[in-house]
Amino acid sequence: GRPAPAQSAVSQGASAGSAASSPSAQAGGFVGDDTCIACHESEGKTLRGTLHGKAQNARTPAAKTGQACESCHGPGQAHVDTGDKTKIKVFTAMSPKDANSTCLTCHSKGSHAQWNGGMHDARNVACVTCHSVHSAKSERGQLKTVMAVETCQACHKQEAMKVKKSGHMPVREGKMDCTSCHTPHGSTNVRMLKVGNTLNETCASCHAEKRGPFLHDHAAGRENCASCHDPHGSNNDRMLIAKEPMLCQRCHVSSRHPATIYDGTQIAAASNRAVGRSCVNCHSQIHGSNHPAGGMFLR
Amino acid sequence: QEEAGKAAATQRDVPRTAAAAIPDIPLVNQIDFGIRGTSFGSGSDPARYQRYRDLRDGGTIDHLRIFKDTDTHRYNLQADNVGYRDQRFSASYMNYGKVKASFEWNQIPLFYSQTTSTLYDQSVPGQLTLADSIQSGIQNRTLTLASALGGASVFDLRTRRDVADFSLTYSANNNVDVNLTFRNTQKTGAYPWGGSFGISNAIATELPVPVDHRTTEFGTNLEYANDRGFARIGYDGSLFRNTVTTLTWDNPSRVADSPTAGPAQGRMALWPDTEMHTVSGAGGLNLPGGSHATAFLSVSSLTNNNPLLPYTINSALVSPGLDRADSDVSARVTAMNYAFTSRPVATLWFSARYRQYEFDNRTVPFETHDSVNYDTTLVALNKESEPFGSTRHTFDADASFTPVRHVGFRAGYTREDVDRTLRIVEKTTEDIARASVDLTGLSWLTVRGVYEHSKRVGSAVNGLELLAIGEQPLLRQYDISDRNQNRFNAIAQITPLSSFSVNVSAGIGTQEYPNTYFGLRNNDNHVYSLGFDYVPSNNISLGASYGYEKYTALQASRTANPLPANTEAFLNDPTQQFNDPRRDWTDDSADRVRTIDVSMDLIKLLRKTDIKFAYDYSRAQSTYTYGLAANTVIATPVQLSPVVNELQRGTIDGLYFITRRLAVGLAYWFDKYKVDDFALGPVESLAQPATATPTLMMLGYFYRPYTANTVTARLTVLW
Repeated sequence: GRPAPAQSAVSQGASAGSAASSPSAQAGGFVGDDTCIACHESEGKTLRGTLHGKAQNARTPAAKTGQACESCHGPGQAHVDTGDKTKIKVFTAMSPKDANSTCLTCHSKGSHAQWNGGMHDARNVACVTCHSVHSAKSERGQLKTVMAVETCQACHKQEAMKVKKSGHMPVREGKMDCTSCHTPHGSTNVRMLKVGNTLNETCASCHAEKRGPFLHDHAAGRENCASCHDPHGSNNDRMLIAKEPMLCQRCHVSSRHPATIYDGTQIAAASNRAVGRSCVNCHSQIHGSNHPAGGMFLR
Repeated sequence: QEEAGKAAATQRDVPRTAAAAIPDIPLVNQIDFGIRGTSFGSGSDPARYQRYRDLRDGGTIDHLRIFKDTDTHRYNLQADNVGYRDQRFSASYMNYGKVKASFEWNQIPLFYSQTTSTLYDQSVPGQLTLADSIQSGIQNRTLTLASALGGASVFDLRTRRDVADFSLTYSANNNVDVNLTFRNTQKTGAYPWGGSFGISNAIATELPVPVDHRTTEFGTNLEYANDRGFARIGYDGSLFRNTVTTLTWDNPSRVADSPTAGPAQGRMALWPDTEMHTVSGAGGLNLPGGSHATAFLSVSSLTNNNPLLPYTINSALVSPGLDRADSDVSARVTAMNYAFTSRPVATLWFSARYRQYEFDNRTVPFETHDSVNYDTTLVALNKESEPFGSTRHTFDADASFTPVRHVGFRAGYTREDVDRTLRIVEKTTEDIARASVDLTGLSWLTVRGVYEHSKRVGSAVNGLELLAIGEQPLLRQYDISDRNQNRFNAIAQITPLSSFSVNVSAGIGTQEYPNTYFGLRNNDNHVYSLGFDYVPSNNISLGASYGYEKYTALQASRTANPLPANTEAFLNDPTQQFNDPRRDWTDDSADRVRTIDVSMDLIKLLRKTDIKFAYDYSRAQSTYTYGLAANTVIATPVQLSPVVNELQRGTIDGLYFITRRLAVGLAYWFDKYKVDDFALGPVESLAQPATATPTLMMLGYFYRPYTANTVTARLTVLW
C-alpha cells in the first residue's frame, strides 16, 4: 500500500496554516503535496532548496498552497489512483512544446517572453533539455551541467571546438561563457544575441570603442563585425576569419600593394605589408577613424 | 545521461577544485587556500600561457563560496583568484518575490608579451617620444635602426578590463517588475598598434598605444506580465569615454619636420568619445489556439561629436582647412520586430516574424579638398567622407509538424532585403529555405539535423565606380556580393545503456560567389566530431571526443599597375597591365584542425579521495597556395610555409578529505603550445628587414611557444 502522507518539505516551507490536504488542494483532481512526497521524497527535498520552493515568492509553485508539485505536474489524482506514470506530467516524456508551455506559464518576462518563435522553440528544444528543477548542477540557472558551456556544447559542437583555438575569447579561462553574448531563451536580436538589435550592437556592448560611428567608417565593419572576425574563435590573430593580408585582399585587389602576391619572397624580404600585423601595420584604424585624413584608416 | 554528460565537461583552464562531496547535509560554503608555482620550458612565452589569466607563483585564495538560504532570503558571496589580476568578486541578494540584486567585479587581463621592447618613452600617455639623438642619427645615417634598437627597453605589454556590474529587480507585485542595470568597464594598459609615415623609404612602427577608456552602461525597464501577455518599456544608455584620444609618436627617421622628406612626428586620432541612448517598448499577447503575438520597437541615437585634429602635425606643411571643427557624426537606429506563433493543434506549429533594422547615418559628409598623407605629403583629394547606412528587412516563416511527440519536422523560409547607401552593391536580396528534423525525448536516441540553402542576389554593380577608386571592375566584395550557400548540420546521441552514450556530429557548409571574378570565390567548411561518455558507477566517469575541421577558401586577384588616372578610356587597352588576365593569381587556403579531449573523474573510488584527469589536444595547420594563370607573365611565387598552432593541456587534480569539512588537494597542470607562423613568428632583429634598409620597427609581440608545468597545493575548507 501507499505510505501514509507525511508533512512535506515543500509544505513546511509554505505559509503557516496551509493545509496540504485542504479542500482546495483536493479539488479538480489535485491530491496535495504530501501525497506526492510520500512517494517522491527526494524530489520534494530538492525542490525546497530551489527558487521554485520559496513560498514567500507568490509567483513560485511553492506559493500555491499544498499544490507546489501539481502546479507544474498537473493534478495527480489519476496518477495516484492507478500508479500510471502517463497520468501525470513527466516533462522529459512530454513533447517539448507541451513541456515548455507549462514553464512559460510563469516564466513570461525578460528573455522568456521571446521564447515563442525563437530558434530553440523552432527546433523542439525543451526547457528540460537544459534545465533541471530537481537536480540542477550549475551555480546559476538550474542547468543540468556544472557550467553553461557544457550545456550548449552538447548540440553546438562546432562552436565548442572553435573556442579551443589559439585565437579565442576568455571562455576557456572562465571569464565568459556562451550566455555572455547569447540568450538561449530567445531575443529580438539575430542569432539569439543578448544585447542590442544586431551582431554589431552585441559586439559593441563590450568593445564600445569600436562602436562609432566614425568620421570615416569601414563599410564592411559598419555592417557586420563577423565579416572579418569569428567571435567563437579562429587560428588567426585577433580571431580573424582569415589570415592577413589574405583577408584584406578578399575585398581589396586594387592596383599597387593590395594586389601584390605576398609570398615567401615577400616574407623573406620582411615586407612591412606581409610580416607582423600585415596590412594593419599601417592601416591601424581599420575599424574607423575620427581623423580628417583618416579615409584610408592610416590616421 | 546527466552523469555521462558531466564526464565530458569542458575543462576550464584554471585549475579547478575537485567537486566537494555531497553528504546528507550539503556543505555549501567553501574556501580554498593554496600555493602555486610554475616552471617553464626553455624559450617559453609566459605571457601567452597566461593570456587571459594571472598565474604568477605565490599563495592563492580561491573559490570562496558563501551561501545562505532561508525561506525568505538568499545571500551569496563569491571570490576567485583573490589578489591576482584576474580576480573576481560577486555578491547577490534575494528577498524572495520582492528584490533581486547582484554585483560583480570581474578583472579580465590580456597579457600580450613580457618580452616586448621599444625605443619610445611611454611616460606621457598618448605621446610616444624618441631621443633626438636616435632620430638625428638615423636621419643622418650615422646610426642604424638595428643598432639603435639595442638600447630598447623591455616592458610588459598588457591590458586589463575591470568590469563592475550591478543589477536590481524589484517586484512590485505578482505581475510587475522594475529592473535596473549598471555596468562600468574600465580598460587600461597598452596594446600593439601601427603607425606609418608612408610607403617609400619610411619606417612603419609598431607602437604600444596607451589604453585608458571607460564604458558606462545603464538601463532601466518596467515590465508587466500576466496570463494574457506582457508589456515592457525601457531605456538604455551607453557612454564611451576615452582619456587618450590622440596619439603622437616620433618618426624614427626624421628629427625635424620637412615638407618633402617627412615629419618629425606623426599624429592620429584614437577612439573618440561616443554615446548611445535607446528607448524601447515590447509587448505580447497570448491568443486563442495556442497563439502568441509579440511586438518590439526601439529607437537609438548614436553620437560622436569630438574636436577634429588638424590634417597634419607636420609644421613644414600648411595644414589644409577643416570642413568643420568637430566630427559631428550621428546616426538614428530604428529596430522593430513583430512575431506571431500559433499551435492550433498539438501536431502543428507556425511562426512568422518580421524584423527591420535601420541604421540611418545622419552625418553630413565631411568634404576634403586637400589632405595630408602620413603627415608627409600634401595631396589634392577632393573627396568626401562616406557615412554608410543601411536598412535591413527580414521576414521569417516556419512551420513544424510533430506527428508523434518524439519527432518534429520543420520547414522554413526567410527573405532578407538590405538597402545600403554608399556601397558598391546598394541592394541585396537573400532567399533562404530550410528544413530540419528533430528526434528528441527518447532515452536512448536524440537526432537533430538541419539543411539550409540560400541565394543572395545584389543589385547591378557599376564597374566604373570601382574603377574610379582604383579597383578592378570585376571585383566583388564577399559581404555584399551574389552568393549561393548551403549548410547542413546533424548531431546524434545514442545511449544504448544508461551508463554509456555515443555522440556524433557533422557540419558541412559551402559558400559560392557565382559572379565574382576578383575577390572571394568560394568558402567551404567541413566539421565532424565523435565522442562517448561512460559512467559505469557513481565513482567513475569517462569521456572522450575527437573533432576534425576543415575550412577552405579560394580568392583571386591581379598584380598590375593602375590605369592612367583610373579612367575608363584605358579599360579596353590591352597594353595596360591592369587589363591583362595573364597577371591573375589565386590563393587557395585550407585550415585543418584536429581536436581530442579525454577526461576521467574518479570520485571516492579511493577512500576519501576525488581524482580528475583531463587532456585536451588541438592542432591546426593552415596552408596558403598561390596559383597563376596558365600563360602567366608574373614570377612564380614562393609558396608560404604552413602555419601551425598546436595546443596541449593535461590536468590531474586530486582532493583528499581529511574530514568531511577539510580536504587537501594537489593539482598538476601541463600546458604546451607550439606555433609556427611565417608572419608572426619571432625575428632576430626588431628592425625589419634586417639585411636592408628597415621599413618596419617591431615591438616584439610575436607568437611564441611555451611549455608550462603548474602545480597548486591547496587546503579546502567546507562548511
